[in-house]
Amino acid sequence: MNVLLTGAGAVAETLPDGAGDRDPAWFDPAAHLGRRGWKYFGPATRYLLAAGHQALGRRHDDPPLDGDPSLRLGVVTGTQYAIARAHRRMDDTLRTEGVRGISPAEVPAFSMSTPGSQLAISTGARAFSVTLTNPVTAGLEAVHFALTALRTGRADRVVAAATDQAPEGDEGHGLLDGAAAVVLSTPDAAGPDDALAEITGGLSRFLPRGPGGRRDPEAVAAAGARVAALAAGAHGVRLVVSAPAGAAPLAAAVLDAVAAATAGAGGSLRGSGGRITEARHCTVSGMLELTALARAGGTALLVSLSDSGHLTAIALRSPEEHRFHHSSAMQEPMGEGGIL
Amino acid sequence: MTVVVTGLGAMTCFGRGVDALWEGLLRADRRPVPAPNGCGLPEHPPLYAAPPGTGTPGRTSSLVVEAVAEAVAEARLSREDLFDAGLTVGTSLGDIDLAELPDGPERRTATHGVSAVVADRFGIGGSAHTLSTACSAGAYAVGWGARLIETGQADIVVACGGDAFSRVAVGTLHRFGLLDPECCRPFDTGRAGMVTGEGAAAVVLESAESARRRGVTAQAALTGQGWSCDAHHPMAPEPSGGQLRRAAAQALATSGLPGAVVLHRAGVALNDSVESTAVSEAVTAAGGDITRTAGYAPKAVMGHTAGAAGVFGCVIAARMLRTGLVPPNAHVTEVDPTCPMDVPLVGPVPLPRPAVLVSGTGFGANNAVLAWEAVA
Repeated sequence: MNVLLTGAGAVAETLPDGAGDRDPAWFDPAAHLGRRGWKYFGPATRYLLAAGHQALGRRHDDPPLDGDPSLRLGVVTGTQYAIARAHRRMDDTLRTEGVRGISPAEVPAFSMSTPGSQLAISTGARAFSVTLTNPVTAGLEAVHFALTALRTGRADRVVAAATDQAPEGDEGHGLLDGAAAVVLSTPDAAGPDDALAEITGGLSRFLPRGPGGRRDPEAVAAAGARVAALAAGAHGVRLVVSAPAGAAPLAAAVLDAVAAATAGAGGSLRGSGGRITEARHCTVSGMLELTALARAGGTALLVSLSDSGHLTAIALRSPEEHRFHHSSAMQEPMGEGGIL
Repeated sequence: MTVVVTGLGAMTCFGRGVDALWEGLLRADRRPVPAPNGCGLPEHPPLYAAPPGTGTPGRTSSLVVEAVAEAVAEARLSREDLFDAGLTVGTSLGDIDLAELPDGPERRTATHGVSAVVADRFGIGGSAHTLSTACSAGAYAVGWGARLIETGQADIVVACGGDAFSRVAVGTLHRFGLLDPECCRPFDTGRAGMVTGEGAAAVVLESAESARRRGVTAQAALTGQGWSCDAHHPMAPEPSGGQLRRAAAQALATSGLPGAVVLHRAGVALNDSVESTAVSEAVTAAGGDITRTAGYAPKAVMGHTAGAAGVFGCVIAARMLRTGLVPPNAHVTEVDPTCPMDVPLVGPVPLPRPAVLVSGTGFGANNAVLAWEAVA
């Protein structure tokens, strides 16, 4: 069963002209969340609520779902830095003032799952709320997770999302804040004209280090073949590899591996053969690329990579193609290493 | 498709290995030690501390590597087998010790690198996901690992979990009255909160067909699982327990009636009562006699291991099924009258039926329930 992408939302920090100083006031919570009900939430939670509700076409101050729609709605959230600033603040307070300096209101900010929990509470999502925390790839992993959950009947609709607040100091250098969310639905749960795109497959791989400390070329080639297989020999595939600057050489190797495997399977890439984009929005980066590809239309393969060797790929195509090829698509065999 | 477990691993306050864990559970006398300095408190809160693991930069990673090494060895997995195997890691805080160093270049903010450390160490090349649904992370790691196998995305998944001492976590929980100052005593009416524990656990999940093909012994089969979310409060469970009951009912829909339930029960009175009531109602609705179902709370002797707890529940369930025994519940003077289950206090006692339920809940009420059965 393919899954339909029926809504998308995002709040993402940008730099003027792509450079310059960051603007700490880039996000206005009241404009997105209303006047009440978010004061004690950290930035990552506020961003997620804004993007999640936008994707669902509702507002944070709307009443949460109830009854069967609530039981059949799930949330899966990727984040790598949800607690980073709160934890550092609490640790510094503990060392300087002792634990009595820590406010009870801060305690929930110490759990990586709190942003996702707040989105589940605000929307009434009771099928599940799962938080994934791998660096960079956790956002696209949320889509992979949602796809599997929908295909195995755990829910009818899932908000797959990512949120991050870039950390302070060297680790946060060059990184930006934001959140993005997509709503994925089973075909039965989606309206006839709701789909922005059809998600046709997804997978995750890890690229272990081989002798000498470099990523094992055999693992890169195997991952490339698996990713290419998600497009099943299609022509004119848009290929995007999203990776942090530090993983640029690995991204180039993965792009080459996917391109070679695509050609080997009789398919072709669009234009000059795919592109690499810099993942500056932490786990949100892959979700932002996914939304852009969904809006661009056509068939696409999106790969998210981390410095530490994680890889997640999602295949999508425009819903018009889904309708056109509906009868044959339903008979496609399971791709090796992909999803049902 | 049947998913079985073919390898187990553990690192706990009892030391290295599943045998040490099982012996410690049967002895049922372990108490916590004072937590290290630096919790920002005049007194030392209690902690079930684990010995150091293998030398990796993060403490949680080092514990998880030990547990995974044991499980992978028992399952006789080669480097070649692991090239396409999946990895799921349940952890709440990851390598939080790296973020609690003094200010300097070594102090990190990114602490969720455990899956990369483990996958690199063992050459695991399939999906490598980290699940951080607070204290149910381990249960979700096992459940998601099984889903990867059931959907044909992997034949083998190493599902593991780990968490280690965090002075911010221990100090803050103690400051706000959530830690029992003596020891963890989940079934005692005098319980006064949780006690944190360090540890890591691992299970090798595998399709029954893969286990047969490789000639390895299946120790137990995962026959059902249920997920739900209360969508009620960021920290506390919804008092009716309706969603946890629903998750337990989902797990029981495809599995035999349990002889025992490894409860999440951590010594927090409201949470404990909601959990045992909800799970008991689901077992009763499925046709079980809850008074003849053993309730077991391992946290009394090993503490609350956070993201590892659900994986430990599965390791313990597999040992219960293999030995046919339920360890006694420790540190009980007067049994909590709100628990409808049989609560063994001396023993071990025989496992009444060859099926065990494992319940996991966490902050935000992310519930997961797993059903295990013996393999004929």
